[in-house]
Amino acid sequence: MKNILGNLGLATTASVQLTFKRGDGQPLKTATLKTKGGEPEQLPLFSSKETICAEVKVANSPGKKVDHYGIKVQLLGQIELASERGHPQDFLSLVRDLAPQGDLVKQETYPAEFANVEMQYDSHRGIQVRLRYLLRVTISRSYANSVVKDFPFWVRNYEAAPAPVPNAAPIKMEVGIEDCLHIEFEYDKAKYHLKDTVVGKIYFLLVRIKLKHMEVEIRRRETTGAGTHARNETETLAKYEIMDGAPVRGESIPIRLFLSPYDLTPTFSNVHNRFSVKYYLNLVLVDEEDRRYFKQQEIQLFRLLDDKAAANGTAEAAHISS
Amino acid sequence: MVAQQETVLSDEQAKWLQEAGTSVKRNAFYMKRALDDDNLREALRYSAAMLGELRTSLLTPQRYFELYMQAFNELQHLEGFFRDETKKGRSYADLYELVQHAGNVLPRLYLLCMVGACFIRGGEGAARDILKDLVEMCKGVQHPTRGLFLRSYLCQVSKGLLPDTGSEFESEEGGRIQDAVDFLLLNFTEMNKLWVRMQHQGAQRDRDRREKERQQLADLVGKNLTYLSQLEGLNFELYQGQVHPRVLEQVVGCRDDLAQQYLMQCVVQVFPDDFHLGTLSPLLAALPQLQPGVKIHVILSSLLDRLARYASVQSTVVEAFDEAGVFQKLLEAAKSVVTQQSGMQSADVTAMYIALVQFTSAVYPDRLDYINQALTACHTALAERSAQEGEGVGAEKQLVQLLSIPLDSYDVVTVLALDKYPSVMALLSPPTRKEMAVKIVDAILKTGTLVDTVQRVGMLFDFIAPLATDVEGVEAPEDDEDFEEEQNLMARLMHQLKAPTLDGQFEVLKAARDRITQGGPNRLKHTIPAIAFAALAVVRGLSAEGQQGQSKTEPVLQFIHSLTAQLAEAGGAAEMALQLFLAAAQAASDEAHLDVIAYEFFEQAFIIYEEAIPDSSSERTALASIVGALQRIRVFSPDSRASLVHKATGYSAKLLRKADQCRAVLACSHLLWQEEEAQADPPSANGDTPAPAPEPSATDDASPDDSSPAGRTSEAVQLQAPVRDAEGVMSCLKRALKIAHAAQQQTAVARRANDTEPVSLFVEILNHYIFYFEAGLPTITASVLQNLLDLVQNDMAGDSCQKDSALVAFYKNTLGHIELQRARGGPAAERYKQIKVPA
Repeated sequence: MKNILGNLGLATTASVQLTFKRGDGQPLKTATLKTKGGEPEQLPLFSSKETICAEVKVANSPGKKVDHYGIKVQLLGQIELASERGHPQDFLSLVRDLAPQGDLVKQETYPAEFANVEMQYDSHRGIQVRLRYLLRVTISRSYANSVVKDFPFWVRNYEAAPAPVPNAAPIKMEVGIEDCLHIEFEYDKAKYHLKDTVVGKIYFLLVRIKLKHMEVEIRRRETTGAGTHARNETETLAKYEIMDGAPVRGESIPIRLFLSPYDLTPTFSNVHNRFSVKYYLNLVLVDEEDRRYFKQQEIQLFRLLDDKAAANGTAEAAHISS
Repeated sequence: MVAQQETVLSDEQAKWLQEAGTSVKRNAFYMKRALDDDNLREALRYSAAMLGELRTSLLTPQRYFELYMQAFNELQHLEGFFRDETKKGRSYADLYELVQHAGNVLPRLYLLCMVGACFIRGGEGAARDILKDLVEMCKGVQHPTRGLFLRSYLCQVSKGLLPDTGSEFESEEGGRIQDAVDFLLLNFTEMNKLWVRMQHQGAQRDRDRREKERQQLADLVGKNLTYLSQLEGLNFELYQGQVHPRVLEQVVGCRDDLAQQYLMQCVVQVFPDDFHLGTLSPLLAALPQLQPGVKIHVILSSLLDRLARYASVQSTVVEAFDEAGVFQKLLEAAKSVVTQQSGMQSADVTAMYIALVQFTSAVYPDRLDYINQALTACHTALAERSAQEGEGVGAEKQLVQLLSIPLDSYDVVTVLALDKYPSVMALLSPPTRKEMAVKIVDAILKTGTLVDTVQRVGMLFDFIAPLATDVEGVEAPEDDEDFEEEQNLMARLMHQLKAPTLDGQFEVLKAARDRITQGGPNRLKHTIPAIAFAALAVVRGLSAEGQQGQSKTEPVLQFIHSLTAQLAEAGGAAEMALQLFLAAAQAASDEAHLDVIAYEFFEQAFIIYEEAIPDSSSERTALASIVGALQRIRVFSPDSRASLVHKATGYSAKLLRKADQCRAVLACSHLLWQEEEAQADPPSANGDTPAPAPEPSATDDASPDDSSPAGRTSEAVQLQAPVRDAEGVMSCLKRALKIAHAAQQQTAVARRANDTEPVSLFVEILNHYIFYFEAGLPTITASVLQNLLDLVQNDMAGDSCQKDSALVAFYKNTLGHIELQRARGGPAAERYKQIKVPA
């Protein structure tokens, strides 16, 4: 059967290999990604405006000639919603032809280069949406299926540290339940880089309930669609206890939350009109009857330029859990 | 029920502790294994899990402490590892961040404190900043027990790492003493807040148990103060300017009884004496602001103890005290506490003043006025309180203690100068007041203190009023025995009233008389004899000084007279009054030579005899006393004497029993026969006696004798020659014989064959005959005596007499006497030779 198909040219008749390289000749960076399966996955890592070079090796099966209409490599940026699996939407598509129509009778190596590619969106693997980049090698054939092979890579973009705003107002807000609980919370700023530390304080202005403890959660909300079709998925990425026991009026409880241990991404807002990823600090107070009182506050996350170096390799995720 | 619950509770506790302990051990084991594998992340994970056991709310503080110690010990391993880790190039700053990734706040903070301590010790971080961060971050634990232990851990691990003066951690960067002080003060404040808050946790019914548990945690809070006091750099300025005000602000502001009680005492105990002296005013000012339930007196007394000890070690301290007006400040503070703490119990008020008085007597042994001031303040306070409450003062025990301090530390006479003392005493309930009075008298008697001025006598009686007079609220004769004892004390006390001069002494006695005569009949019985005898001693003293003159002695005798008359009037003490009159008569005669007064005394004695002697046996005794006294009196003119003798003889005949009559007559015989040599010193006129250097004043007093007012009733007289009335004696003896015969016949009539008394009477008569025989009474010849002797011998032969061994012995001795006289030789022996003594 294999032979028949092979003879008909229906089987995979050619192997495709692709090696990523950097345009600037530096060693390739990689991103390590956690997967659900366990083994972390390593992908080549690029940023926008970088030049992506690839070396594509195409070879025929021994003794078989592969005739084709042409070989090309595409750089694709795709957004794929869980609801429309299999039908990703390309928001970026660049192509390089590697070979004109002809016969492949031996292994050929083609270099390819995508110079200064604009990749404004970061790669993202969310619950209901993913945004990915890949190089796709296609060997087009007339009567048989084309040979198509994808080579994914990862994109992260960095921001320079924002210029320090003089007298930048911290996030400060008074919230409460009338005659029951009044607190004022304060986070030192609204925008944090991924290795940043959230510093803040909770002032207890009125406490009439018996609190047991208080924690700060980091929550991520992924929104797809818009308007009435909008769908939200929220995950809690961190729970960080900041208070044990019941405070009295006038107490102030310090917050110092290191973001580095958690698997965070920058805030993505309205990516290609398809989705957003937002982050929230959720302050949760739990009373002795396990009732929860909470207040959620959005924070902006960004990837700081300076940690670009650190980004090469595994993020130090020394998240101590107990 | 309750006990059962407690057992169940403690069983559960043990179980919980064991479970938690097991988990600590298990996690510690994995932690150590991870450390061996050099796996920091795992080690941190397990150490956090181990410390997570401390998050329990189930354990009582004591059990929790055990668990804490377990975890504490295990943490040492991690600490060692961290030290090695930095040698490998990892910075403490990294570790400091890394441990903060722990998700739970309690384990995180324990780890942070530990790393923080290493951070400082390693010299890598600035002590000031790290300490500041730690003490702030620990606010994350608001649970009282857990927070207290956590902060106690912080305190423990940072000990020795503070930027104290002279410490290796002190520097521009690392901070100065100020930072060390700030750190400890802040930790103290936070801990105290947690500690105070504990009481509001849980159910109301568990309150007592909770307070007990809080008590157990007190030392954790106090440790901060101890460490503060141990700072090298803590000088007085810093203490005065910062530590003291901030600590007090916290203590006063927390408005918690338990905390205030403990912490105030802690402050008093841990900081040096001179600091207290320097900050005395604000410290004292804090006292009135404390909660009503705080035992302020306990705090004050420990403060005063310290100050007193301080003063006792260094002599200059007392001067410093004076400069600072310490006593006045203390007094004001006490007053202000009383005013502001209206709910303070009288017992506590008193206890506070006890402390003050103790302090004063220790530090100012010579400032009696201070003690008086303290007593005044105490009295005011208590009087107000009892007026408000409309009840007695209570606080008996404390008041007695308060009043006892001066007695123990001062001479009793000195104490008498405390004019507020009696008013404070008056606050006691009557029975206690009396006990106190007994105590005072005891003190006087024990030390032999003499009360030597009229004024002091007045004070003394104010002090011991409950013994001297009836007191409202006490039923007069409670326990007879007790009463007797008390009054015996009073009687003894009278002999402690002694002025240096006789004049003064008399004044003192008069003053005492004025007080005791208000005491009612039951007391007079005891006190009057004592004071009367004391007065007699004055008479004797005057006589010994050669001042028999009436101007001196007469008032004293009059004094005795009126006292005794009072005693007689009081009733129930007729015999005593009679004896007193007789003793006074004796003195009037022998010492003062005042016949009229002596006669008056006898007259009074006779009146009592006639009117008040209740029964025949008392009569007999009383008569014997009268006769005895009269026999010796030498001051009477023959007429006066004759009438008294006549009276006495008359009484003797009126006695009921023949035997009594007989004996009385025998006694009366002696009234007619005074011994020549009875008076050793030759009787002479007053002026002739060479007075042994009389004092000028005495002479002055003596000189106006002649010009004394006409009202004088008596003059000093010469003693009379001894009376020797042989005829009279004989008639007495004969009457005695007659009565004895009558008695014998009575016995026969009554068929009392065994009654030997009549014979005994004869033997007694025989003895008198022998006496007068020897005295040379002319009418008693040998033959008269022989006749009597034969008569007695005859009677004695009776069976019943021979059985009466006492009588036989009496008779034998009588005969023996004759034999002895005969054998002795001399003129008497010659006369005895004529007597034939029966074999």
